[in-house]
Amino acid sequence: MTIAKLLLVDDETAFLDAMARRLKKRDFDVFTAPSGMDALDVLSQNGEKIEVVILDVKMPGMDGIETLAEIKRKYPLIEVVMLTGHATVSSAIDGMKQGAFDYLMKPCDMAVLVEKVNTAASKKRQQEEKIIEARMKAITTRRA
Amino acid sequence: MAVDSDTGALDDIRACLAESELVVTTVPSGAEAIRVLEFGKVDLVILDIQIPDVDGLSLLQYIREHFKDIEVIMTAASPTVPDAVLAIKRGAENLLVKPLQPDELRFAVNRLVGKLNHRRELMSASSPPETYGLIGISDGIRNVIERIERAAAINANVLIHGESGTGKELVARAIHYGSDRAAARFVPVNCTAIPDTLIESELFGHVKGAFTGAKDSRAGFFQVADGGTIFLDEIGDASLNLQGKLLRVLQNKEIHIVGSSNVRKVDTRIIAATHKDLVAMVDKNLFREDLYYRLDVVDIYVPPLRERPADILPLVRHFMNQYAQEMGLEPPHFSDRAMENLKNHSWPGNVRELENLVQRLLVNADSGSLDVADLPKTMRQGVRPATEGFQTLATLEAEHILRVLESVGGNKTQAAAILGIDRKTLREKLKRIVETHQPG
Ligand SMILES: Nc1ncnc2c1ncn2[C@@H]1O[C@H](COP(=O)(O)OP(=O)(O)O)[C@@H](O)[C@H]1O
Repeated sequence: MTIAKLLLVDDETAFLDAMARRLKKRDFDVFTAPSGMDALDVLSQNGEKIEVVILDVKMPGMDGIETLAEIKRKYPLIEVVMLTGHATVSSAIDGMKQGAFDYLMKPCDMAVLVEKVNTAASKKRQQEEKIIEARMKAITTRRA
Repeated sequence: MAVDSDTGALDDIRACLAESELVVTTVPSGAEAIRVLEFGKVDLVILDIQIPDVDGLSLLQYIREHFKDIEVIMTAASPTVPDAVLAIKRGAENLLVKPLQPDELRFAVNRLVGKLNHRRELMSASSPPETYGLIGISDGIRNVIERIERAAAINANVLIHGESGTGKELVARAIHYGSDRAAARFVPVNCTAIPDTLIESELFGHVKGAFTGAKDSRAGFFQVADGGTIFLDEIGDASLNLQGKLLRVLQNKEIHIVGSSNVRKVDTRIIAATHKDLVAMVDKNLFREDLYYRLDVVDIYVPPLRERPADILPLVRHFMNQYAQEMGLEPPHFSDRAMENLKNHSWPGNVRELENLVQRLLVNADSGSLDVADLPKTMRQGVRPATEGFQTLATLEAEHILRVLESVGGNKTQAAAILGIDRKTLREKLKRIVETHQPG
């Protein structure tokens, strides 16, 4: 399996750096952003590449749920895993309904995180493959 | 229906919904919930996460898998975040924390009732009526559906004729699955695809060692379809040899398995289809008359799409929604002018052409809307520059051939059938076209 490309979004830069380092060690391609706005910037420059976003729920400014909604609106295929220190049941429900792939509690177990990211990435790839298949069909149809 | 082990909670729910017009059933356990669900009158379940006999989240999953139109609201006294995540992932509409707030519950229930009503309206009004998976509102397709129903009720052989891509195979399936053979197999057989030397073994099967290369015994189409239906597609292209073999099964209702001396009784219904004029072929001795009469007990004609333009937009909408959902995209919006062009197109490849086009449009769409410019050149009207003077016959022919070919998704056999020429001629023409016309 190819390694997934992901974007980590968290306002605690210390946490962000530590996570990024640990994920890079496991051969993930990691982008980081310290806020929802920055995350959207990174996506607009690298949107094609990024497969999974790991998003902190509680951030100043644009919060996690708002960022999630915006990401899902602009890039419906990107999967988003929500990460939270003190999730309430109601915020978890909100996030899932906005199309989050899953919720993880901080501090999170690396193995669990890696597994979630991998399933999220493979879900995204499956979706894309479907589209590519349809596209190929279209081309062969046109020029057969 | 409300499911909770706590009778107090059930009473609360009852009281809270007393004013509504909902019929509320309450049950104390998962087993009873399932019994009520099987009864089939439930639209909405309020399900506690902690019930005695099964885990509420598993019951939720069961409901999602077995009754996909039922909506579920979960309740829980002290849910954890993972519980909440799982509940929504498994398709619950919401998870309410106990003790239930009457307003909150009423609000959640009302929203779902609204959603259910909306869905019902959609099903009955805007989405086209679906019968046996056949989309269409024209008299032509209604007539076909009526004949399907009649054919499904009896056991006679059926002959379906109509142009390529009109939905003949779909009609055949509808008959099979509407008949009391539905539990047995529907076996499609393309008569053009069976090499003459293999006819018998393909149709009737062979035993191990029956001929060189027969390493294992293999069941033939008629054995597989025993008790069910064989769909003989392109019967007009069956060789005389194949016709003879088929006639014999039809007459004797038994088959000889290749390499075995045994005779086996088979009970197989035959539905055949063709785009050719079998009567004319019978006149020219290209099709056996006795076989024709055995097949043509019930006759169904599927008209080409251009003769039932009322079906075009419902079909476009149907395929748009279907493929958009498969690809996880929003179905794009068509401009009025684009719709107009779709309606006026002659669709030589019929529904298959339309299905291919929709798929292609969906994939190529950059925005949420589609206009005339997104349609293939051959379909645009009024945007083509008026040609100066007249074109040569060769140019016209080339254009027509390419258009037909595109309409059937590049399938040369089908294109040749539509054009009324054989494949070899088509290939030669195509070669000439490619040599003289650079695509532009
Ligand atoms: N009325 C219809 N509603 C929905 N799909 C249709 C309809 N008619 C045809 N199709 C679809 O169009 C395609 C071609 O139909 P098919 O039955 O293979 O045509 P034929 O056997 O006449 O060549 C199939 O994908 C079929 O599902």
